[in-house]
Amino acid sequence: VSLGARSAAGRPVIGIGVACRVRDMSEVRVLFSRSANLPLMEAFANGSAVAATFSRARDHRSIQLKASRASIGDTEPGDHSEAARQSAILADELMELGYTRIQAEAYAFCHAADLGSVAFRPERVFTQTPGPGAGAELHK
Amino acid sequence: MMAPELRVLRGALEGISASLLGTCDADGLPNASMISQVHWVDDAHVALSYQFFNKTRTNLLTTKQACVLVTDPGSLAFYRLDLDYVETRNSGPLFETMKAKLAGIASHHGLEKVFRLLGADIFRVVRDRGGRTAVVGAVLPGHIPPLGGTLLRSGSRALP
Repeated sequence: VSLGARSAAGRPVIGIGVACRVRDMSEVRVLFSRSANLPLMEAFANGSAVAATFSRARDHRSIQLKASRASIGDTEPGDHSEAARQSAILADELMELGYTRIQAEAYAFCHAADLGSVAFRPERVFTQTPGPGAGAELHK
Repeated sequence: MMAPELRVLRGALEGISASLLGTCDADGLPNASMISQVHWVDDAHVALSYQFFNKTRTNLLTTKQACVLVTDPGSLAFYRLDLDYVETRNSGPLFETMKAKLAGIASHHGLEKVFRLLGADIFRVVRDRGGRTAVVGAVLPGHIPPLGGTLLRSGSRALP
């Protein structure tokens, strides 16, 4: 999961998430390592919009969600186990691409005590699969 | 004077792992995408593979700014770099090197008919007022990322 924001200084900021949960089919929560995403958290705290791109490791097939606001939050019940489950799936996909197990698990790993979340209600959806059409908006 | 710090990130700038790329449009709306290559040029510059004219490309040409998250395949440390666009090269040794690497990446992912290098976008790596570049990341046990020079390590993830 890639997370994009805009800093208070107006510069783009990129971060990385480890898992995603959807509440009531309306609110998206992306789970991430707090320590690895401090500039991103600062940007959201300053009111930045959010871009979240979800990509499949095998072929980079991707979709991007955007919202004008996002809120940083703590973990909720079930977040740790869900993050572990989704990280394991990513690690398996990376191994299929040639990563060793220790490389794959380290890449996908996030310490439970370091887990944070950002929540938003998607307003626009885009294709983001690499290619000339990346960034094209998907309409209802 | 250019600090030597970017040289120690070369492991993360060889195109082994796909990188994450953040841009903003003219209204400040962020865009998050993946990029095949972030290539080391010298101690002050990197090159990004320009493969398609899409939203990311439009944003880059409009704002001249980007942020990338690259991964060292050895230590699995993440590095976040702020970038300012300088120029695009579509010929020469750098372009040919990146073109050859992209062909290998495309073959690995079965995307030979999709990935084609149109240019090598050169960016200057932005430093903070202290001349430092922020570094974040995870470290494999026994593999310590080279935090020499003036690198600022702003976060890490301990492994069990």
